[in-house]
This record gives sequence, structure tokens and C-alpha cells, in this order.
Amino acid sequence: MTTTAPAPQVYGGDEVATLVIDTGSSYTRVGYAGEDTPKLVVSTECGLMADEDVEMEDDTSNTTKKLNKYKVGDSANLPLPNMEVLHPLTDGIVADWDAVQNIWEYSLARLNADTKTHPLMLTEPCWNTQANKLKALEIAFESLEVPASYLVKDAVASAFAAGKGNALVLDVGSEVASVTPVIDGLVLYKPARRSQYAGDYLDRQIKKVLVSRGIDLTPRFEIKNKKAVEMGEPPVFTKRELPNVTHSFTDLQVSRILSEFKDSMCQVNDVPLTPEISGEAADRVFEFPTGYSTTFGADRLSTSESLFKPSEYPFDGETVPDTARGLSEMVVDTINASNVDVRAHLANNIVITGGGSLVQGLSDRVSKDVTQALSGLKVRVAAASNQEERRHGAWIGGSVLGSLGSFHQLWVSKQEWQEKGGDYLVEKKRFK
Amino acid sequence: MMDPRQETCGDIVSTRKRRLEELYYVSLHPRYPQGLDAKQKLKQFQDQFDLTQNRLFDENKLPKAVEEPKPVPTLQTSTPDAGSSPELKRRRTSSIAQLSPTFSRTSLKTNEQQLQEMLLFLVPSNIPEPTTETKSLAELYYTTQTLPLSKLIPSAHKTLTTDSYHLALLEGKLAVAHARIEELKRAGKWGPRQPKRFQDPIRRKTHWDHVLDEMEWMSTDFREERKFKQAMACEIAFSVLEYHKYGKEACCVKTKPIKFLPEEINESEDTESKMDIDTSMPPPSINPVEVTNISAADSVTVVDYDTLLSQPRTLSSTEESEDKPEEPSTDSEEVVGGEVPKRPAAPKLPESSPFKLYASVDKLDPLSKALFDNLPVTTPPGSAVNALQVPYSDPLDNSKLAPVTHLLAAPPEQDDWWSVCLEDSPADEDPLPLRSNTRSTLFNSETMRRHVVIKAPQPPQTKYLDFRTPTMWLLADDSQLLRLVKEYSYNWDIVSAHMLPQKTYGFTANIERRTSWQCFERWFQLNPTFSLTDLRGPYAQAAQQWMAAAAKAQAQSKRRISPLGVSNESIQRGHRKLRWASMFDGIRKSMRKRETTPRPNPQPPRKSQLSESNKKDIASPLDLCKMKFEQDKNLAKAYAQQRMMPGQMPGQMPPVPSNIPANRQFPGQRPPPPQTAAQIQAHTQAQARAAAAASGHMQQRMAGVGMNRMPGQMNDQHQMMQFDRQRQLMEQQKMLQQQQQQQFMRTQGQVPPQPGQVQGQVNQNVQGAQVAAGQAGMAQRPAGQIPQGQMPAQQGQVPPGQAGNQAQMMRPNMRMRPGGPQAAAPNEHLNALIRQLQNQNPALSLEAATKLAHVQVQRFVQKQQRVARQAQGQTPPQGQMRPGQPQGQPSPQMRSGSSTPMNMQSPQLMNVQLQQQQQQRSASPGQSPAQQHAMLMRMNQQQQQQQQQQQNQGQTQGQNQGQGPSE
Repeated sequence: MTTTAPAPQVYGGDEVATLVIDTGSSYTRVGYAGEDTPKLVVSTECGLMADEDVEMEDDTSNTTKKLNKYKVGDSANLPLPNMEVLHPLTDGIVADWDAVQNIWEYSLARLNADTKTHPLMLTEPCWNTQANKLKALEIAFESLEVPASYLVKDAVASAFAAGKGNALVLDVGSEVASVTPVIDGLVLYKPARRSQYAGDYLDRQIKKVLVSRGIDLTPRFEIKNKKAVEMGEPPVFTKRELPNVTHSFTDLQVSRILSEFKDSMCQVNDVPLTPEISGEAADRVFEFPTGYSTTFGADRLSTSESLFKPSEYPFDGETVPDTARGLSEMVVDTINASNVDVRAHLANNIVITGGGSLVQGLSDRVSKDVTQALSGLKVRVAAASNQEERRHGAWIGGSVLGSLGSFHQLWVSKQEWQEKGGDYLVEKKRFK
Repeated sequence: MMDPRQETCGDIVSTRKRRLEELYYVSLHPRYPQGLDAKQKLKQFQDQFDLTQNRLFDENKLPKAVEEPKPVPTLQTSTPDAGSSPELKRRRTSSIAQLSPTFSRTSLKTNEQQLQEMLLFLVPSNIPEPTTETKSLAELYYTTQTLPLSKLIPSAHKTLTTDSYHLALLEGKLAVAHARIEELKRAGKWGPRQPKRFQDPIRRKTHWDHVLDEMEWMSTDFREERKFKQAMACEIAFSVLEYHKYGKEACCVKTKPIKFLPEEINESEDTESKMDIDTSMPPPSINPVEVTNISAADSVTVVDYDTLLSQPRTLSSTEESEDKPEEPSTDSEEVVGGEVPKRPAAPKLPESSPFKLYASVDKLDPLSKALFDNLPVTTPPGSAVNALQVPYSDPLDNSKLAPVTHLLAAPPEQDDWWSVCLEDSPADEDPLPLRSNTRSTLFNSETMRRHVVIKAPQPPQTKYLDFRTPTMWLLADDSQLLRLVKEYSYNWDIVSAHMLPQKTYGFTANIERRTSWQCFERWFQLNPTFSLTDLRGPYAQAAQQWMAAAAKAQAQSKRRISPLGVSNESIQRGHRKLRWASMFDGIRKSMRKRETTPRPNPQPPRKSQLSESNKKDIASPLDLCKMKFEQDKNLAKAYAQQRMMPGQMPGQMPPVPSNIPANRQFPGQRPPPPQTAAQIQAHTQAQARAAAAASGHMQQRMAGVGMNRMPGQMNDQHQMMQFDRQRQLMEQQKMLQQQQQQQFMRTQGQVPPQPGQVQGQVNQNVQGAQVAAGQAGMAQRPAGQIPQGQMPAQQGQVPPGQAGNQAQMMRPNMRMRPGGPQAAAPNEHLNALIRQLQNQNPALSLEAATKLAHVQVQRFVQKQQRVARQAQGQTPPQGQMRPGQPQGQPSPQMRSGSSTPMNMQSPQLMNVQLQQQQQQRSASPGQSPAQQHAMLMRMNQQQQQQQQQQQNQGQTQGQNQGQGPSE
């Protein structure tokens, strides 16, 4: 680390137009640092066309093949024949770099950004592997040819977005819910916890309930036309005949319905639901793409309760492992696993972020549960009220960091990359 | 039983846990006052708890105030200086302990009135609320040692939960911890505070620290920028709305059309107009130093109110809205940024701006202004050039002490949150000056009190001195005593009256006795400066003597005699024990008293016996059951006998014409001895018949006239016989009544029937039932051919019960529709008839059978009418004759004599009858009404049963008869 004092005039002074890319498991945010919202949010799920198309265009050129092979952005939402939908991230880390690189290239192209002139800041989860880091830097420097790059932990970025150097970040994403203690802007790895009981899990819970109620989950693209029916009446619609639409695409579109349901209907009860306590939730009407509409009351609570007690809401044919923890339990676990000295700071600065945390009443519940579990500590939860701030917390944090004048010394330049090599950077120096 | 125990267990656990936390916080926040003279205070504190001299740390000596309250300039505050009296200190701590330090804004509003009388403090929010109940670890240790749960649990009577065992375990752990603490204390290693944590060597701020600082500043900037953007977007949206609503004239500023200058000057003009546009959009770079200058100059300030109120640190909308330093403007209303200032004439709608984006400092009220002035301003971090010299201050290192246990963590020190702490205004301070003001010189205490003579109350006799138990005085009692003594100027009686505990339920433990003398004694103890010689009053001498004697006795005996002051800590240890002891004493005393007092002769409770005998009168359910059983048995017997008789018939039956009813076909045979059921029936009917007999031959003649057609009636339709017979019986009954009444009325003048007479008749009935029955039977017989008194043997031997039954049978009908027995009977019997016909001739269809039956009935009715017409000469038409409507005024006795239904008889008579029945049945005399009622009920049942029997018999007879001609 450098020990030289930063020059006073750098503060807020130099704008280097840093590009910030936050690759989440469901959405990828791209934008310039210094802005408070990402310029572009594209779905991380991208379509992969079947191979025969590729072979046909193989002789023309390599780039067109690539672009045609992957359908990113809006075109991934088109019911193209034989298009498989990919989920490039598993467990929050990139598994399919090809797809991710395509997404990055696509979105940077959309921004009309010349990557050769902009430093690139990438976020990564704190459980990211060395190989992945290396690959990310490789893409940045070799393929995108950025002048400088940096990897920031998304938990740190989320904490920065909330303006905190010391925080306990509860990030409820779509694939992973993680609790990460951040002290002095550095992640404490040992006590960090993560689980799969996050947004996608909640979607599955919702699907379970909807299927058990016998509701037709025909996605919007399959519906040619429909008639308005009274609430509770069977839907009247005609299906559109589309050739060779893959299952993965249909699943994605169904999950869009479930996400909508999650956003508009789900609610977390302020106290844990037990057989005795069945919380009160006012009935709300939800209209499905088929035109069928019905009311949901208790299901709104019970589905989201699964985030807090996954062991009590198993899926058919699946067993919930003993280690399954709800969100509040994870937070408490993490605090208890941390050093005594930092516990009070962590409990006092719980930052809740991630799109999955937008379920109504979630932050209140976490606050209540943690307060109850840790009576000796003063628990204070900081959850941005703004929806955009919550969804893109990590990106905003990256934007904050990238716009700092004192940060510019921390960039890894292309020259450093070429001189020292990726292994050295990843294993020894910066991004260990 | 386990529930309260669990509750207490839970309480113990929670208090103990709480205590642990508290101990820790006490150790964390050494509460010696901080401030300018902190060093001096520290020295004081260290003197007080000089640990080097191996003095144990006494927590009670620790000042318990949470922290020196920080005054807020605009609020009513109290700044108690450290040198204030200990009493005041105590008051403050206690009230703080009682009040919850955190007060929400709403509760503040609701308690506005109380708020006037309260003091406000701001206390750092990281300091936990004081617990209401505190126990020292030593005390906990004591209780756990004296009554360890681990020993209590095995002897528990009821279910134990895991929690109980956990609790016992926890107790053990606490005991170990306490033992260790004691050990450390003995070794001189245990202080009031934890050992200092290891301090890292001082390090300078590193680059990363600067990054973090800047990050904090920048993220605040981001947040405020977002807010401002949203507000501006809203403002613009409303402006667009306004434009469309009110038109261009009202909303837009008139501008001159742009005059384009010649080419060469155009460049400068362009920059000017650009400048104009630029003002609307804040450039990203901000120079906050200048902003602070502006706010200090009080010229124009833009305040985001929400930000201002919510968090003091985030006053940064100021910076964003101002792009460059502006000269102090003349117009305070003028606001910088946005298009808003450019349209001064625009009508400002109240709904047009949901956000208060701009505010003028001049228009703030003084409170807000004062707050505003004191608000910190966000400045970029590390602006100092000598950043290298700034030592790094780790927020985590702020707490100087290490946590006691791994279960607890140090509260964050850097915390801008403050809790509002309320405290009762000194209530006991105010009255004093008030009192001195209002008091007249006559009662002015200061002058008076000096001359108040203290008169001793009457002391108890010295002989009781040896048996004395010391009274116990809690601290609260003592203070109350002192207060009362002052208030009532040494009037010991009044003081003692006020000192009495509130709820004793008739028992006052010795140790809690508060007689006037004991009050005096304790007061004297509390005032060692007071000398006994100052005592005045009649008992002064005695009091002095007593005191001397008491002192002597105390010196001699090991036992304590004089009143005992008890501190708060030892209440549980000593006080309660003594209290129990004194309670036991009291119990023993009262037992002794009871033993010695002469026991009054125990009077056997008469009343209950009486009630017993009364109870015997009323039949118990068992009795009733027995009676019912007997009744049923008799009934069954009678029934069996009745059943037997038809069985005997074939053997004894002479070859008689088959048209004669079967039940009259036992010539020369005596009827069976009257059985109970039959007897009752006979009896009730016999009354009527006895009366009929008494009414002389007239009726017999009449009956004869009515019946003279009888033999001729025996036509080929045999099945009609039974029916016929019943009808006849009924008719006869009717006629009997009529005649009886008529005759009675005629003879009333000469022979008024006396009650005794009737009674006699009735009694006679018992013996002469047969005779009466015979008479009645004779009356039913076709008497026309038979000379009077010359009864055919077979007729005379008609069983009375049967005759009665036959008469009785029609009774319900008569009762129901007294006017029309004819109308009722055919319908009822028509069905039976049809059934019979069908039984006999299965080939007959239902309609045919019905037709046949109708024909028969019609024929019968015609015959009947004929008979009636013949009898018409003497009897009035039947419609006029109703049993319930006798002409004239028949006496009850007479009515009883007649065959009026039972339920119309007078209760007296019924009683009489019942008694007679009971006598007959040799039942116990003196029946209760309930029994009588039961009897009545039974009688009715029997009647119905017999009626059924009769019908059955009739049917069998009819069948027998019907079979006759068919053969």
C-alpha cells in the first residue's frame, strides 16, 4: 500500500469516466462511475441459438458468429425457435464466461463506450474463485483492452453505497443470499455466510403455491389474445403457436410472472409465523397473463416466510439440509461468528440490499429478529428506501468508489497486468 | 405449580443475564464525570475506590447516573453540577432509572403537559437503558448458594422442562464465575474495570483510510443528489402541469426575442446565454468551503428540510444547489438553481410543490435557526494538507476496554444518535419554598421548630423488656418516619398511625410493629445528637427510665432488643427470615390462646336434623323408583290375570249364542278378586255408580227404556257388537248423568246430599263396589225385560272393573268433545272396522271395505237415532247435556258424585279419593302432594293401558265373533 498522502486537489476533481459493471445472477448493470444509477440494466440470462445456425454462418466471419450465437438483452426475451436460455452464473459466480463476455460486450456497445479509453471496474462476490478473478481481468485487459481495471467485492460496494466503511451487508440476490461483514472497507471472510434461499428460491415457493392452487402459468408470450373475465372466473384466451420454443425459455418467462408476483404480492410477517400465529395479510388481487385473476391472502405471508425458515417449507421430493438458515439466522450467525470487538459495529450497521430484499416488510423482520436474538447489542438496519438503490446497491457502491479521487491510485493498469501477470495480481497482491 | 416457578426461573435468568450486561457496561463506562475538571474527579474516584489498599470494590458507591447529561441549548435542561448535594444526585439517578430514557416523538407530543414539568436530557443512544431491578452478583451468588436450583430440582413435584435444568446449570456457572472473581479480588487482580485492551502502536492514516473517508463523504453526496434530483423532477413535472393548466401567460417569463448580433460579437453572447442555462444545472464539481462561507454569511441558504430534521450531518443539498459563490443577494427570497426564480409572477399553488426545496434563514423561527447554526456541515475529508500527521483513529479502538465476555460486545462509540431522556422535575424541591411563602409567621416552622418540645410517648412497661423483639426498619421506613415526624411535629401517635403498614389482614408481625413508642425509639436512634434529657411531657421520666433499662438489658443479653435498621441489600437475607419467625410466633400465640379459652359446648346442629326429617317427607328418587316398581308389578299382575281370564274361557264357556259378548260369558263364575289397577278404576267409576244408585229407581227405568231394544239389536253383523256396546255404554253414561242431575234438582229441596253422606257412599263403595257395579251393570243391561231388582246372574257378575273400564273407555273422548261423542266415535272406529273387514275378507279391496264399513256405521247410526228417538220422551236432546255444564248449581260433592271427568273435580275431593285409594291399598298414610300427583299420573296411565286392553279384547272378541258366522 502506498503511504504517500494524496494530493489535496484530487478530491472530486478528476473525472476519468470509469465504467462500472456489476454482474448479478439475474441482472447485469453497466454505467459510468459518478452517476447514481446504472445507465443500462440487462438481463444476465441470455439466449444461445442452436448450433446449426452457427455452422451456417461459420464461413462468413468469427464475430458475427459470436453475436448471432448469443442473444443478449431484449432479443433474449424473444421466443426464437431453438433458443436455449443460459444462466451464466451459478452460486453467484460466473460459470459461463463466454456468455458473460457477450453480455459485457453487448452492453458496452449499447453505451457506445470505447473501452480502450475507460477504466473498468468489476464487482465480484467475496466467494469468487481465483480462476474467475483471473478470467475477469483477462477479459478486461485482453479482450476489452481497458487501460485499467479493478475488482471490488460487491459487499464492500454495497456498504459504500450506504456510506459505511463498517457494515454487515445482507445481500438478498436472486440466486444467493449472503451476509458479509465489512470492516474498514475490507471483507471478513470467515464469518461470512451465504445460502441459496434467496429470490429464485422464493420464486419456486410461489410456483409451488400457485401450482397447488391449480393456476395456469402460461407466460405472456404464448398468449395470442385473451378476454377480460371476472375475478375467479376461468381464463378465456387462445394460445399462440410458436415453433420450437425451448423449455428453458418458457421457464424464464414463467419466472418473470413469479417475479412480478413476488414484487407485488409477497409480504413478510413482522413476527415469525407459527401454527398459532398466522399473520394477517389483506387479500390482494393478482392477474395472471392468461387473464385469470384471484385473491391471495395467507399465501402472501407463507411464501415469503420461507426465506426465514427454509426448513419448514421444503419442496416435494427435496430435503432441506440441516445447515439451511433463514436470513435472520444468517445475520445472527455472522455476528456471533465475528470478533467480539466488531460485533457492536456490525449489529449497528446492518445494510440490507439486493432486489430480493424488496419483499415488503423484510427489513423490519430482519431488524426485529436480530434485535431479539442479540439483546445486548444495539441493532440498527440501514435499508435504502429507494427501489433502485436497493436493486443496484453494488453498482452504486462501485460508482461511488470509482468516482473517488483517492481511489485512482488503486487501479491495476494494463501495464501492470502485462508486466506482473495475472497470477501475481490475483494471488499475491490486490485481489487476494 | 410449575408455572410460577418457571416464571420466577425466567425472571432470574433474565435478571441475571441483564445483570451480566450491566456489569459489563459499568465496567465499560466508568461513570466518573467527564469535563473540565475530569482529572480532579478521577482522583476523587480513585480515592473512593482505592484498590491498591485491597479494598473491595463496592458498586453501590458508584455514581449511577448514566452519563453527565449534555445540555441542549434550546430546550429546558438541567445541568446538575458535580458538586451538588448527594440527595439531589440520588434523586436524579432514581428518576432516571425509573424513566425510560428513550421517548419517541409521539409520546412527547401526548405528554406535553407533563413535559412542562420534566427535565430533558440527551443521552447517547448506545448506552443501554438502565434496568429497573438490579441485583449485585454477590447477592445472586448468595441466593444461589442458599437455595441452589440443582438441589431444588430433584425434589420437584411436577414436570420439569429442559429450561429448568439449563437454569440450574447457569446457576452453577455463575457460581463458578463468582468464585473466580472472588479469587481474583483476593489476589488483588480484580478491579472495577477490565484491564486495558492492548493498544496497537499509533499508526498514521493510510491511503485506504482516506479512501474510506472520501467514500463516506461521496456516498452522502450521492444520496443527497438523488434526493435533489427527485425533488427537481417533481418540481418540473408540476411546472409542466401548471403550464398546461394556466397557460403560457401565467407561467412563463416574458423574454425579448433574441437579437442576433453581427458575427464577430456572437461568440461572447453565446457564452453569456450558456451561462444562464448553466445555472440551472449544477455542475458536478463542488466547492464546499465556499458554501460554508455563504451559510455563515446568512445570505441565501437553501435547506432541505427533511434532511435537516432527519439527520444533522447530511446537510448537503446546500452544496448541490449552489454551483458558484454568489454575492449576498438583496432579495432573501431569491433562490439559486433551477428555473423557479425566473418566474416570480407565477401563481404559486399550494399543491404545486410537495417538497420544500428552498427556505430562507431569515424566515426560520429562532429555535430552528439556532439548530441550523449548530448543525455540522459536511466537508470533504482530509482537506488538511498535513494529512500525514493525522494519526489514524480507529472507530473500533475507541472503547478502551476489552469486553468482559465473548457474549458481549462493546457498544459503538462514535454514534450521533441521542436518546431523549426525561426526568421528573424535582417535585420535593418545589413545595418547600412554596410552603415558606404561604406560611404565616404564626406557624413559621423555622422559629417554631427550635422551640418545639419533644414529648415522649408512653413507654411500655419495663417488665416486657426481656421478651422484646426488635422492630425492623427499612431505609424507606426510616425516611418516612423522619418525614412524618417533621410533618406532624413530634406527635408520635399521629406518626405511628401513619406508619402502619397498609395491608396486614389483621396480623402485624412484631418486627413491623409501629407503635408510637417504637416510632419514637427508632427516631431517637436515628438522631444520636438528641439527648434524653431534652424530653418533655408526662412520660419523659418513664421514657428515660425505659431507655436506660433497655440499654442495660441490651448490654446483658446477646439478643437484640433495640430497633434494627435494615439496609436494602439485607432485606431478603434478614428481614424476611425474621418476618417469618414473627409470623410463626404469632401463629403459636394464637394457637395457645385458642387452647386456653374455654371451649363452648358444641351444640349439635338441630336445624340440619329438621331438614333431614323434612327431606324424608319428600320422596327421594329412590323411593319414587320403588313405588313405581311396586306399581308396575301390581299392574303386571293384574294384567296377567286379566289375560288369564280369556284363556280360561273356552273350558268354562257354555255353548252360548255367539252373538253375546265374550267377556260376559262366564255365568256363575265369580269375578276375580279386585286387583289394584282394576280396583282403582272400579273405584273411580264406582263413585259415579254409587251416586247413580243413590238416585233411585228412576234412572233404572230410564236406562231400561234406553236399552229395551238391545236384544233386537243383535243382528247378523257381529263385529258391530263391541262397537255397539261401547256406544251404548257411553250413551248410558250420559243419560245417567242427565237423569241424576235432573232428579237431583228435583229432589234438592227434600234431600240435600250432605258431604258426609256422599263420603259415606264413597266409603261404601269399597265394600259395595260389586253391588254398585252390579247396579251399574244392570243399568246397562236391557232392563226393560228384566224386572227391577231381579238381576240375571250373569249380568250381576259382570266384573266391576270391566264395567268401569268400559265406561271409562269413552271418557277421553267425552272430555275432549263433550258435545259430540257420536261424531267422534264413528270416525275413530270406522278405521278399526275397515281393518277388521279387510282382515276377515282379504279379497275385499280397500274401497269396498270402506264402503261396507260406512254402510254398517250408517245403519248403526240410524238404529242409534231410532233408539234415541224412543228415549226422547224423558231425556232432553244430547247437545244440551254437557258434563261441564250442569244446570243449576251442583255442589262439588254432587259433581264428584256424577261422572264428571277427574280433572274437573275439586282438589279436596281428589284428595279424599286418593286417600281412600291409599287406604285400600294399605299404603302409608299422609301422602304428600307430590305423591298424589304421581298417583294421578299413574292412574291415568293405567286407564290408558286398560283402554288399550279393552280395545285388544274387543278386537279379539270381534274376530272370534266374526269367525262365527263365516263358518
